[in-house]
Amino acid sequence: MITWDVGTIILLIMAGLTRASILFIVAAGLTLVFGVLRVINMAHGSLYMIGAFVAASVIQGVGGAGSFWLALVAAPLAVGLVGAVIEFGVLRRIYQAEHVVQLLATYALILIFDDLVKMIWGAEYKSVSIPAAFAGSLSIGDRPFPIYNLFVIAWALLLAAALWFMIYRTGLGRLIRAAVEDSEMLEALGVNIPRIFSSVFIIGAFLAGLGGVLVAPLGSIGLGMDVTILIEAFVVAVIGGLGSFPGALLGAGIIGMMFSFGITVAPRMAMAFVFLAMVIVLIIRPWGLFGEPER
Amino acid sequence: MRTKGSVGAVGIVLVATLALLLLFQPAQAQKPIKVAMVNTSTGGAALYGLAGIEGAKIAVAELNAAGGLLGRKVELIVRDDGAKPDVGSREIRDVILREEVAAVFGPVSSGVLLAMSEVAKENKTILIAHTSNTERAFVERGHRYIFSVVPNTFIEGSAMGQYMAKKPYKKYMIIGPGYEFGYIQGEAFERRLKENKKDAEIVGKLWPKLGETDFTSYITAIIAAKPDAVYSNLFGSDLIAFTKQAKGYDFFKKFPFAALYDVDTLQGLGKDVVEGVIGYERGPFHVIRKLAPSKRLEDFIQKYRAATNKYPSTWAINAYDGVMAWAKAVKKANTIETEKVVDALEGLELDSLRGPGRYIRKIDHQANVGSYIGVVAWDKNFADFAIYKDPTYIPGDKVWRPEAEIPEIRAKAAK
Repeated sequence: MITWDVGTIILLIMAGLTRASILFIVAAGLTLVFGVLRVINMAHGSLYMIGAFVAASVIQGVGGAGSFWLALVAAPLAVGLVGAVIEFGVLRRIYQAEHVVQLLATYALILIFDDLVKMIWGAEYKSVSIPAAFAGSLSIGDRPFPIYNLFVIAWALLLAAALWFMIYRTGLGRLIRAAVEDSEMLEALGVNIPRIFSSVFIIGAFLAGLGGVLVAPLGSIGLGMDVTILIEAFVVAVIGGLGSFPGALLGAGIIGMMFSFGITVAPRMAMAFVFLAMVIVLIIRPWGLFGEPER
Repeated sequence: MRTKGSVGAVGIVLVATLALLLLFQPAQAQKPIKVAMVNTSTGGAALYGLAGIEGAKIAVAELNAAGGLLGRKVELIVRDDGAKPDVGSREIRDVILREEVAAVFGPVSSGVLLAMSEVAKENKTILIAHTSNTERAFVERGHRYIFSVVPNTFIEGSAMGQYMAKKPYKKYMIIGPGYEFGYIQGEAFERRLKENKKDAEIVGKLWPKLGETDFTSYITAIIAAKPDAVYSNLFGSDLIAFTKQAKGYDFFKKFPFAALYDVDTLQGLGKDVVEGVIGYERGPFHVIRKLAPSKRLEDFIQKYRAATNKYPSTWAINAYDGVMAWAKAVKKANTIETEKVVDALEGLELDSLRGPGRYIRKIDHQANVGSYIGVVAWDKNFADFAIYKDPTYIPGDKVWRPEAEIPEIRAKAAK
């Protein structure tokens, strides 16, 4: 069915990288929040969706050339704010509760946000055009490849570098790494744990919102996008190891590539491959490729 | 204190109470006729469900404005199935048993339709499908109580097979959502295409999951397979995402493309639409206006715009047709009693917004409603979204499954 030539393979690799980029940006937030707060934020997908909708409103409301850049700044900040509200209002009260309670609470948030988004923005599909600066395609190996996708990949790399710098080279990063290791000890040492938790959650929300803005020109913005991304980001985070940010990078890369090539080899099985990968990793290494056993 | 006076007082109070109760007892004939719509109002498919609900509300309001049905008001109960078969079954069971509805309309998802249909059959309640359209619900799993006023997968797929067979393309790639609707309609397209064009072949089939957001890998797979043309039954947000992403690969310059570009999808795409692709759908107001204009349609469009500030999608139009079909059958049978209404529905000619000449055939309770096909293009009358140019309508009875095939299919399914 497919003519396997160099051009095709390069295109598939680039396609895989694009998908991996979005997955990484979203999964990074999810895994960071779990690593530090030990909470699986089911509403992470909802934050991503809100980011996309806010971006759509900004772009359609303001219009013109600069509106995408404005959305790129405004939407993640707005989502970060929503994250702050969630952390303060809901999560703070349930850090000590069982995992089940936390899952239920964040799941309830999914339902609440679903209805809120429908009330505020309505049920119609919204579409955001690719910003003019990135319209068109570039020839890669004699095939056209969309420039915007390259922009998304570049952003993911930039973010990976920025997150790496923050985690391994800054004071906050040191505290975060310590909190992932042992937050009780850290508290005993007098560090303001609640403030770290808030900061990390807001960063996570910010990342989710950023993912939403970047993905907006690539697809349609509508109700239901929260669920689809959550499942995929979850798989990526689990494979990489919940709490490990290099794990998220690797996981996103694996899933992105598996998907891209899986579709050409066995189209009906593409989704199954992804979950199969997760099962295999969990059997061999239950805490993910880069994860640590739960203390 | 027992005195003659107080006994009299108690007696008066009792009589007065009884009299009040009798006075305010609603007479049996004044009880409203209840019908229910079990549709999707949350999640990704909510847009279609909400449009159906709005169309049904307009129909019910019209019936009540004209004095109701058989002198009784019609009351519409709305339930959300969340596009989940188990929820849909639960809701339809609830409205049948607790609300005692006379008929049920809905849902959006073909998967949910199959589940709801079992409950309708079990409880002998009329179920009219106006959005979901898997043929299996009417043929293999058909029964006396289920009806369709929307072109089923066989009709819709075959209409496109017939339409594309006239073109010079030989090698096709199919891409559709990976669930009941996608597979069954893809089969129908393939069959009719090959019947009408002997040298046609399907070089590949892709089934992204429903709700897929990233089609880049699928797009590259199609490009690598080099078909002559691509047929798709992607719809809604999936189709919007696919269209936007494929543009970046110059996909539409390379491959003729046909997909379910309904009014909602075209509105959602806005300026990102690609002119020149082939669109097909089940009741576009802009085509009906050209091919079968009517005052009824214009009134409906006006009411819909007054209520929602948007143009009605096919899902609203078909929901309205579904409710009105049932209402007409009730008037004809002069009762809401199910068995008699079913008899009246069989062979009934619809007063459809889509035009005259539509009737429900007996063997599979499918209305001879067909497919509207056109080339997507901008029109000076609509600034915000593209519509179809050179539209054509392929009637249901030109492409539906020949009656002779149905008993055999049912016999095989029953084994």
